[in-house]
Order: sequence, then C-alpha cells, then structure tokens
Amino acid sequence: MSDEIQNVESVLSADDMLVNTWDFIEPSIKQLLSNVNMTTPMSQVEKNCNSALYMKVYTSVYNFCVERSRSISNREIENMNVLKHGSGSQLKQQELLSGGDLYYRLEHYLIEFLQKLIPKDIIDDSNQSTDFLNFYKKTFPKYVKVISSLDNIFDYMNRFWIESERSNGNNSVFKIYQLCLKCWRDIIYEPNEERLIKLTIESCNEYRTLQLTHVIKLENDDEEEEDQDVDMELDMKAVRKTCKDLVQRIYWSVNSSMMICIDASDLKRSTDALYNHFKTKFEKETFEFYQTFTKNIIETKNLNYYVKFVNKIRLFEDTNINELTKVYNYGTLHSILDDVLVINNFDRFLNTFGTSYHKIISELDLDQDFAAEKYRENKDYMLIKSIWDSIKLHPSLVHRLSDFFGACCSKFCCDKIASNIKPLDFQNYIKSLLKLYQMNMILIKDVMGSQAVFVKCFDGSCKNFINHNLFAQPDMKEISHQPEILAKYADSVLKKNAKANTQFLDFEDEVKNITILFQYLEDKEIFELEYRKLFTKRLIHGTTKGEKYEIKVIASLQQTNSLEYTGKISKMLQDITSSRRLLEHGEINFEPSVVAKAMWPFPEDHDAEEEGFNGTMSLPSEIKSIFEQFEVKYQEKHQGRVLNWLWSLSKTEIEADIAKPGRPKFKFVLSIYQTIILLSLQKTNTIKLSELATNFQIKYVIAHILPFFKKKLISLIKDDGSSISALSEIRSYEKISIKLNAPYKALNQSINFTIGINSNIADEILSGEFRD
Amino acid sequence: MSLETGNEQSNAKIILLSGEGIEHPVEEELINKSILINNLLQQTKEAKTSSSSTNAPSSLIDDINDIDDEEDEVASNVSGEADQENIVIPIPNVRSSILTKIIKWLEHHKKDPVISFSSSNNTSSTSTDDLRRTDPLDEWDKQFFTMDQEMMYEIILASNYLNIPQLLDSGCKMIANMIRGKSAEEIRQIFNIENDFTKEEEEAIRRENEWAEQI
Repeated sequence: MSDEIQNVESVLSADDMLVNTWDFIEPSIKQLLSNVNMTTPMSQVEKNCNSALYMKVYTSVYNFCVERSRSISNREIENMNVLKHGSGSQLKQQELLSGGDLYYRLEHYLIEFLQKLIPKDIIDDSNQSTDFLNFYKKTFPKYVKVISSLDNIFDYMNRFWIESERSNGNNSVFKIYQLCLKCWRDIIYEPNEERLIKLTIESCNEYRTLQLTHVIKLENDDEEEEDQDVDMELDMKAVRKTCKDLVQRIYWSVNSSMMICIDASDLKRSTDALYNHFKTKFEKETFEFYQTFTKNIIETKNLNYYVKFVNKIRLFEDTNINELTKVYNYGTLHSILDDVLVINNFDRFLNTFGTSYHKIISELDLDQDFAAEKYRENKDYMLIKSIWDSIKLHPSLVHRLSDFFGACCSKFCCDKIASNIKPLDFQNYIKSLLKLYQMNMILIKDVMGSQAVFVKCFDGSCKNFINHNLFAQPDMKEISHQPEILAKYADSVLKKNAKANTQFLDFEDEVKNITILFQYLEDKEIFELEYRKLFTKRLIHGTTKGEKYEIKVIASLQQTNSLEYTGKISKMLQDITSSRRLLEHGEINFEPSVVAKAMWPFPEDHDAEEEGFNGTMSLPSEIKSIFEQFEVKYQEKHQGRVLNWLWSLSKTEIEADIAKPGRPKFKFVLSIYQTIILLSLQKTNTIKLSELATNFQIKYVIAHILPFFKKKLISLIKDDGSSISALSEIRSYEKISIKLNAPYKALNQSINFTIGINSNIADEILSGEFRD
Repeated sequence: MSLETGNEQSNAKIILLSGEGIEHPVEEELINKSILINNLLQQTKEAKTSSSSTNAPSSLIDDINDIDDEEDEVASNVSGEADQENIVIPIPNVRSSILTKIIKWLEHHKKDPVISFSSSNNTSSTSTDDLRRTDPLDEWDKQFFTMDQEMMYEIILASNYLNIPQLLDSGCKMIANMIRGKSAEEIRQIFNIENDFTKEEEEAIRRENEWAEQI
C-alpha cells in the first residue's frame, strides 16, 4: 500500500517536472522553429541560435534528465528494500536514464508545428503545383538548419536516454536530429511524395530545356544568325534567375528524400524503395524528354552538329543534373542517355563515321610526305573524334564501331592502293602502305586511345589491305605476292647503292617500316625464302650495304617473330664471316666463301651443279692449284665435310694484256667459265665451241660468251670463214669457233663481263626459239 | 578515432559565465575540449562564413544554397554587420570555483591530442573505449584531484554536463582508485555512506555474491 502511494506521488511530481521543464523551454523551441517559413532569410536562421538560448535549453534538458534519473534510482532502491528478489529487474533498466516523456513531448510539438507549416492554398489547390516546390525549397533547408541546432541543444538526451534506448533495441527512438527528419517525412514528405517527385522531374526537364536552348545552344550556333545582343542579355538574366530557382527546387526535394531515409532497418519503407521509386520515374522521364528534345535536331541538323550537341548534353548531365540528383541516379543516367542519344541513332553515327573516314583516306596524298599536324586539324578527323567521344564509354557501341571501322579500313585502303599505285613501282607502293598505316595509327592512338578492341580490328584490317590489295595480288585467285615485294624492298634498302639515294629515309626508320609491314605478312615462310635468295645475292656479289645493317634488320625480324625464324638467315651471315677468317690463311687473290648447303637457297643452277660439273670440270692449270690447296687446307681443319664448288657464283678478276701496245692493261671481271674460256684462248687465239663444250655444257658456254660477243671481245667464226652477226646462228655451234679480238679496243679500262650472262637466252638459241 | 593538432587560429574571445554570473575568459582552443561548447561555437561559425558569401554565387552549389529572394538579402546584410563582440556562454550549472578548476585542467591538457569520441557508427569505438579504460591516471591528474570529495564530485558532474570526456574519465578513474581494494565498511567511511541494511539483509547479499569472492 505504502509504496503504491509513493509511486503515484513520484509520477505526479515527475509530471510536474515535465510540465515545468517543457513550459520553460517551449518558447525557445518555438522561437527556433519560427524561422522555418517561406520568408525568413537564411542568414537570420543561422544567427538565431545564440549561445544564451543554447545553454539555457541545454541546461534545462540536462537538469530534467538528471533529476529524473535521480528520482528513479531512489525509487528503485526503495523498491528493492521491500520487494527483495526479482523486482529489481522488473523495473526496466532503461528507466534509470530518463528523458522519454520530454522526448515524446518534443515529437508531438514538432508534428503539430509541421502540420501547420504547409500553407492552406497549397493543400487545397493541387493544381497550383509548382508552388509546392517553392514552399519546399524555402522551408526544408531552414528546417535542417534549425534541427541541427536542436540536436546540439538536446545533446544530453542524445547521449544518455536515447543512446541507451537504442542500444536496448528500442528502434522507435531516434537521435533528435533524426527524429526531426522523421517528423518531416511523416507530415510533409510522404503525404506529398507523388506530387513532389512529379514536380521535381518536371522542374528538372524545365531546367534542361532552359539550359539546352539558351545557355548551351548559344555556343554552338554562333555560325548561324546572331540575335540582337541586348535582347539576349536581358533574356539571359531572366533565364539565369529561373535556372537558379529550378536548381533549388530540384536539389532540395531530391536531397530531402535522401536525408529522411534515416536508417533503412527502422523504417517501414526502406531506402531502396524510395530510391527505386524515384529512379524508375526519373529515368523514364529523362528518356522521354530527350527523345522529344533531340527529334528535331536529328531531323534538321547534320550529324556533326548533333554529335557535338550530344557531347554538350552529356557534359551538362554529368555536371549539373548529376550533381543535383546524384543521390538517386549516381551513374545510372549514363545508360539512359546512351540509349536515347546514341543507340537510338547509332546507324546514323556509323554512316557518318564511314563517310568521314572515307574522306580522310581519299584526301590522303600518297605522293606527299604525311603531315600529321594538318591531319589532326582535318574537319573529318575532328568529327570522328567527337563521334568517338560520344560512344567511347559504351562497350557494346565501341565494339560495333570497331567492327565497322575494321571493314571500312580494309576496303578503303585497298581501294586507295588500287586507284593510286602504278604497277611495278614497288617502292612507292611500300611507301603508300606505310602512309596508310601511319595515318590509321594516329587515329587509333590519338582518338581511340589505343583501345584494345580497336587495335585488334585494325590489325585484322592491316593484314587485309597489306596482303590482299590489287598491287600485291593482281589476281585474287592466286596467292599474294606481298612477301616477295617486301623482301625486294628490304633488299633495296640493304643494297649498296651507287647513287646517293635520297629516296631512302634514315636507315633506322626503314628498319622500322620493314618490321611494321613484316608483322602483318600472312605468309612469312615465303618471305623468309625470298629474303634468303636476295641475301645470297647481296653476300656473294658483295652488294650489301654492310654487315651491321644486315644484322640490324635480322635482329628486328627476329624480335618480331622468333629466333628459329631467322636461324637460316643468321647462319648465312655467319658463313660469310667465318669464310673471311679462312681467307687470312689463304692466298691473297683468292676469296673463298664456304657456306652451309642447307641454309643457302641456290635455285637457278641447282640441277646443273648436281649432275653437271662437280669434279668433272677441269680447271685450267693456272688456277687449279689454288683450289686444290684450299681444299686440302680446309679438309685439315674440318674433316669429313664435303666441299662443293658453286662455279656459277664465282667471280674472277683478271688483267688482260690485249690492248694495243703501249696502252694500259684491261681489268676484266669474269665468271669462272668465262675465265676458262679466255685462258684457253690465250694459247690458241681460236678455239672451236664444241671443244669448249667437252669441259662444260654447251648451254653454259653460250650463256657465258654472250657478253664477250656483245662487247666485241671475241668474234664467232663459222667453219666456212664467215663471221656470225645474229645470235640465232649459234644454234649450229659445232661449226663455229671463237676468235679473240686482239688487240682489243674498248672505252672503259675495266669491264664487268658477268653482266649479261644469260642461260635462258642460251636455252632459246639451242632450241631455235630465239629471235634476234 | 581521429587525431588532430589544434592549430586553428582564432581571435574571438570566449567568456564563460559561471552559475554566480562571474566571467571566465578562455581561449577557444582550450574550451573546444568540451564537446558541448565546441558544437555551439561551430554553429555560430557556420553562420558567419555562410552569411559572408552571399554576393554573386557563380557555381551550382552556391545557387543551391542561396535560397533567399533578393529582397531578403538586403535585410540580412544589414543585420549581419555588428558581429565583433565576444562570445558569452552562460554555464548556469557550474559554480565559479569549479569552473576555475576545470579551466586549470584544460590549460594543462592543452597539448593533448584531440581524441574524437563519436559515440555512434564508429567501428573502432571499442578500441578507443579500451584505451580510455586502461590508460592509467596520469600523475598530474592525480594531484589535480587531491581535493575534498564535494568538489571532486562537482567537477565530475560538470565534466559530464559540459561533455568533456577526458576529464570525466579522469574523475571516474580517481573514484575507482579510491574504491579499489577496499572493504564495504571502508568504502562507507570514505564516502560517508550510512549503512541502511539490516544484519540479515547484509548476510543475504553476501551469500548471493559469494561466488565472486572466490575469483
């Protein structure tokens, strides 16, 4: 009995205390909240909470909480005295810290305040729609300011009573700041949510229209008619003001809906639900807005304009709209914009891309040096760049564009070569390929940022147009000659050149160029074989530019392909270098090249070497000993190796004292056959062709006397004593003798008779097909 | 937990007004250890900075926050002028002598790193709490709290009221040290507590808690 009375008494006194406290702080809270209206300036709201008010209310709340705790803990001790076991835990622990009734009092007060906040005309007249956002944007920021002060003032309650309630699992109690937001949500936001979202999106579209038609369009349209500046400026001021207003309408409503999602697990509607609700609507509306907005532009303007405009729209959306609404659409609006601005019109993008690209290629001057700077300023280049900019973030579009680019690149480059390159001008052809490559490469690097898909497509296209153009492959049914052409080009670069060749660039650049084209070769085996053939010529005839240059090219080929690939080529070079070493021990006037048979391609005379003369050809005594000596020496060093002489590749230099007396001796460069023939003539002056043919085939006899005959070193005399004038007559060689024309007259003192050796002509003569 | 070095320059004088109405000037840097006062000052500062940047908003963010109509701005500029006064903060619950003590304590702990005790959503709060609990009471604080119990009690209450966590911790540790290792009777003597248990009750409680003594 007695403690019941006591309890009632303490509750009563607690109520008194509550009433007293509330009465004391209510005017201050009222004063703070009174600033939340449409007219009070923000700066005043900020100043409203002075330190006196702050400390007054804080102290009052503190005293209330402390007093209440004290009285409750006193009560608990009294209860313990009487009830002993168990009853202590019946008293909820949370009541040890108190403040609950003050909290609910405040909540109640806030709800009442907010209910009165919305002006009547807005509630009644739902048609006067925009005013709601005006009300919203003018009150919510102030409310937020005020409640953050309130939160500080009620900090003691936050720290103890609310903290303990929440840690005990009472999730219906919030920190004061959140409580205030929750009240806003319940009273202002939720009942008006639909209208709020609708209006926000409307404002957003209005803002877009204003910005896109006045602010952004201006920069683009300056080529077209320029309106009167004065009018425009006036207009702009109004636009600016409206935009500012719209920005606030959008921002504050969007942001409030984020802020009132206090804690997902506590609320009936989770953050996600709110989020999706807004997002879905917003995306749909955005799509429709731009669909309508761009329809006109697409129809009336060229794509160049459109693409530029799209990029402006993107920038605007990324900065302004995204900034305003990012809590809801962070990043997701991109795909909507992609859809409506680009994907819907992508065929036009592709078309324009193709046209511009075609123009760039057809304007490329293959005869001029490639001017990268001018190229980058090209209008079509710029257009391609802006097309790229508008799709680059969209993987599937990048893919489609890159495929399209690949097809265009193959086709246009092939066409360009077909229509520009004269047949046989292989050097110019190679240069043109390189220019096309270079031009595309700049595009891919500078515009596409070397994106992997693009590089891949470009590689494919390069393979196409480099191997299968009309120059390399005049007949599409046959295989491409590109490997031979490139080998020939490499040969021309590596050959010692009598004329100072200005046509060739820096050697390093040439190596680079060869390597570039090499990597796109489809048939690298053929190239390797061709390369070795030409390399052989360079090595045997000593026409190479130099060993270090050869090594550079070989190294570069090896790097692009493999060690195995250049194995044979490298071995060839080694053979020559090691043969040089042999030379040091040999005779001075003897330059042997010992080469590995498997590595060196000697196609022409292959059969002849096999069956013809190996061992059977007898050398004149003058040179025979040199060869024999070398063979012995070589065998000493490398036992078991078989040496085969490749007579057709040998060269001899002799001095011929057959000029008029008193004149200097001639210097002849001869093949070994020619040497044998001349040495035979040394003794007899006249010799029958058939006699020479006992030593080696008549075909070679004829082939090798052709230059002698042309340069009148010899006369050919029939058995009847008459001279032969036409080559075709040589067919009946049994009846013909050679006569040395001594003394010999010639303009040059040194003559190379190896030029003009032709076994094909010899064949034709013998078969009777040859016509003079 | 975040450590900051309080390098903020501020010329504003802060005057704490004790319960009896006596003025206690104090540096802002010192009193910032009181989260209550710090919040209050932060609030007034915000007001100042934002009211000074009302003219010509150029960026979007300025636009967003500048919600006043133009006519209002003029009025606000006028009212925003006279603002050079000292900030007077009434501390009605604390007596002047206690306030003096607290300021002395603050002076001494001026150089301490600022430990932010954000009670909510702080994942590392347990480790911060551990640190607060296990950190031994420093010598100076021990000396500081050598005073009569009444005063010590008032300081602890005031530190709770002003929300100065470090001071509150020190005070509580001091009390804990006084209790540690003492018998019930000794504790009663120290804190002057009347024994209101009967012999039987005492025995009952002792039996209930027997298990604890064996630990």
